[in-house]
Amino acid sequence: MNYEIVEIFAVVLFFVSLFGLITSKGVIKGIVSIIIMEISVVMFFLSLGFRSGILPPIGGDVGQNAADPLPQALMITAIIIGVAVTAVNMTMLIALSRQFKTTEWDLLKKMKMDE
Amino acid sequence: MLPYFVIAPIFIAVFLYVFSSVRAAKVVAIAAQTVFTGFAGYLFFLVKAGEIVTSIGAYESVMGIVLRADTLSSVFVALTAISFLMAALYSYNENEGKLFWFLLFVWQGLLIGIFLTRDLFNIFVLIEVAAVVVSVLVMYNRDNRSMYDGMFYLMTGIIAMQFYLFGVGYIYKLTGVLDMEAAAVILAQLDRSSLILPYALIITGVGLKCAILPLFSWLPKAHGSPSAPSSVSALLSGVHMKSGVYLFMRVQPLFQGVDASTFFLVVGIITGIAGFVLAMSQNDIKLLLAYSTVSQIGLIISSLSLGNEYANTGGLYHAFNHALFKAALFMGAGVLSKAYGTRNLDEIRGVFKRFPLVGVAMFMAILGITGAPLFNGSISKYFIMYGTTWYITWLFILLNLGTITVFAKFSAMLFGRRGDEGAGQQTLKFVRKVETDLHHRDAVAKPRNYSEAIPINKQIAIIALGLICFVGGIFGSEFITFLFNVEVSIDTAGYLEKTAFFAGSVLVGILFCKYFVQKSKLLKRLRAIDFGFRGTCVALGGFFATVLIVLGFF
Amino acid sequence: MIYVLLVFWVTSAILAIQARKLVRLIVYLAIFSTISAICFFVLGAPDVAMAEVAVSSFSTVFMIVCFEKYFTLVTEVTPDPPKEKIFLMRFRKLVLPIAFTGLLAVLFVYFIPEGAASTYLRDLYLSRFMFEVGGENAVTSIYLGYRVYDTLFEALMLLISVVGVAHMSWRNESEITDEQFAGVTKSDAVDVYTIRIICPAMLIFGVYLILNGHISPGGGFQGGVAVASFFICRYLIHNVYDVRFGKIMIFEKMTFAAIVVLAAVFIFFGFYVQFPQFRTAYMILMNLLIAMKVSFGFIIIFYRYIAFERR
Repeated sequence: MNYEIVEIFAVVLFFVSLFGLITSKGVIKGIVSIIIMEISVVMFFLSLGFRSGILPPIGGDVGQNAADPLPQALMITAIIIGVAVTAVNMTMLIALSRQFKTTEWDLLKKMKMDE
Repeated sequence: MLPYFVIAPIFIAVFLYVFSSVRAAKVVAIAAQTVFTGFAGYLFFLVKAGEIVTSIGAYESVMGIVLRADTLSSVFVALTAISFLMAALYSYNENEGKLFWFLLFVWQGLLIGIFLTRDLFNIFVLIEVAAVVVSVLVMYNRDNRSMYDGMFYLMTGIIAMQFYLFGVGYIYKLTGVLDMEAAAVILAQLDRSSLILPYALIITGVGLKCAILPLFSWLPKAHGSPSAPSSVSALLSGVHMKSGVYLFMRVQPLFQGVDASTFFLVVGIITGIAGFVLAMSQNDIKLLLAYSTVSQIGLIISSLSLGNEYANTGGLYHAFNHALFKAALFMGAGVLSKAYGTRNLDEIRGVFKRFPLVGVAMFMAILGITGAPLFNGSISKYFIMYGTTWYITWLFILLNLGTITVFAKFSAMLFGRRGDEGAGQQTLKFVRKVETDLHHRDAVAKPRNYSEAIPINKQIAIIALGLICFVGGIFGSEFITFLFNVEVSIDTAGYLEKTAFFAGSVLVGILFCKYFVQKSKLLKRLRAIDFGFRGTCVALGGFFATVLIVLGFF
Repeated sequence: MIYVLLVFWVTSAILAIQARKLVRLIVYLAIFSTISAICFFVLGAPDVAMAEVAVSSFSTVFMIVCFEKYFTLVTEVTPDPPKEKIFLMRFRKLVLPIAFTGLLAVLFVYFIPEGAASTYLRDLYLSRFMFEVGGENAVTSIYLGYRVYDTLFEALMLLISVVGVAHMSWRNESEITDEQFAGVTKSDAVDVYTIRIICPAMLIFGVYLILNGHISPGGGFQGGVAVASFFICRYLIHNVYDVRFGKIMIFEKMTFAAIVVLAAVFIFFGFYVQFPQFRTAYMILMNLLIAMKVSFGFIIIFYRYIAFERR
């Protein structure tokens, strides 16, 4: 039963971030929502096989209490991908605000249309 | 052996970036692409003898990452190699920096990685990296609009991949493995209700990558971005889109219990119709081609969902062909928009007179995409329609009629006299006149050169692609047997019947184009339709919910 | 305990999404990241927790720099809507999205497949990683051994993002002079003293993480970020700028090439089977290379932000 509650929290957060994306007025909220979305997926992966009294998969003698090492290895990769994407997004944000003087989706769209 | 097909381009990319000058980089790039195409052909012949499976590091297959090359993936690898060779040839004399070549090679490696890998998480990693590479390439020239386009593409792509990753998590939870083949075996034993959620999550992510109906708004932005290099648009439409289609095909066998073929048949046909309606409304060469890609993808997706052998093979062959003729068209559009100084369709006229070779090659590509007899499109469309029920056949004929109308509009620019070049050229002439008047010089002293000749390497690339379209039509069934190891034969009577249909549709299409498309006000209003970022997020959620509801409750 | 944490976790995320002011947004996001790192630790994943802490501290810095710039660039303020329309707008912008995402979440939870997670691969890895790859930390042995192919692309991702950031920055030149850089950082006494005390500890911690990645939590990535932050702090203290972008970019690419070559030779060719005595050396070397690559990448990104984007 333990893992399911963590899983449901992760699902709820996933949709909270989707809510953030849908209501995002500008690019900044979009970027922040994407960060939150990524972390919610990480939490879901780590919740697989969770139960109380779990130990990190380090050393030979942890036995049945060890957490699953594979999702952890995957999620380190996912987190690094996340930060790389965030850095690129931030640079684009600055570039956009420099060129359009705004970062709101509606205004950006309008300016693009006018061109 | 297989991992080197992925590692080698990336390694060459790093080598080019670190050690060589721009001039040397170009030469090395062309040479490397040629050699690589040879290797891809070699792989293709190896695979004909039997599937190649490589477990990286010789660990047990479920524990490590497994690469496999079967007929399907080797065809796509060969396609990637050919397209990138042509794109490299095309961009040889453009003054892009080293960074362009670096990104091009990395992109090639990533795409081949997607085609070869059998690991679900590995696909996620490759697609994320490819998304960043593509967005940097789209905004390579850093002008206002391409910044927005690149950012839009990157952010929507990342969100879709989060859906995909969530789905991979559920597959791991259910099966305990990430290898596609092992997972398929275990998932086949589970009951349907537990498969619906992972399927919906994964197909939402993959659906955005193949740009099916509510999720395609990134495509015209990324493909039609004005300042993106034309070779990048050609590769995006030709090969990058096919990675989405490829994943769509690879995901289906995982979920044999969930039969979503009817749903995707409907979605594919609606996508096709929406694609050509939007394409008709465009006046910009690149945007028209981009929306036409949406329409063709709809056709491919629906033919892959039909579930009979012939339609499947036809759909695959069409995906292959589409890469060739769309690449030729995008490259031609790039050349023409540079030569005429405009991207407006109404202002380009008389290509046949001015650039006969490019004009003929582009016309061949147009004949290919519209499915004219003797060209490759006709063969693939013939097999797609083979043995379908009557209403689906008529829907496909409608789709083809739409394509013909779109390209009737497009090919208007090929004809006409050299003189009547339309408003853009007249404006240029006027500007030139004003300039000369202003400076009180004689009119012929220094005419600004707006129409350089097309460089020879670009001509070679475009003509080669056009010729492949023609050859692929003449030897259609042999090509299919050669590529996909499927024995097919063309029934002459049926083919003639399709030819008659084609002739009829051409007539209707041209009339429709002349009397409705070029005048209609409604289409002009359609041109402004744009989902925007939030709209795309809503569409992602809505698509996900629709898949869940359709599969879960009906 | 984890449930309490999770409630705070979701709350901080909602606060971050709903925050009106950018400063609050950054603070809420930092809190959110910290809580998630603690949750990861409780879930038995110290490696992931460490990576999350490292990443979140960096993205906080990015954001502060980025939003500072944003404030100076974007001046217009959207006017308040007229009062009679507020209700309608609230309905459209709040109630409808909440209903929509709520419906999605309910559908999602309804379709969640039953049953506990399969432990097939977990048992395989735990029983065999020591003999097949070596090391004590199963996570490290997976991403340096079984799934090293993924790690190559992860390194590539950082490389591409560095290239992208450098390409899309406002200025195109790859070098900046000392004069341009002078005055960017301020030497406030308290800051500098604090940083001076933390700095050596950070370096030692980073090196420890790198060298012990195969037997304890940590590894190339986490250690690399710590080392990068040491170098960044060094510039904060002394306010000098002697980094040459061009050279570091080239070094970064070469380190990536070295990672590819090492992984290809040792794992792809199967040398690890013939030479089991070199396995530990391979893991340490690989962690070291990854750390170098990551720290080069972060130094470039950081200075690109500080020196180019900030002005």
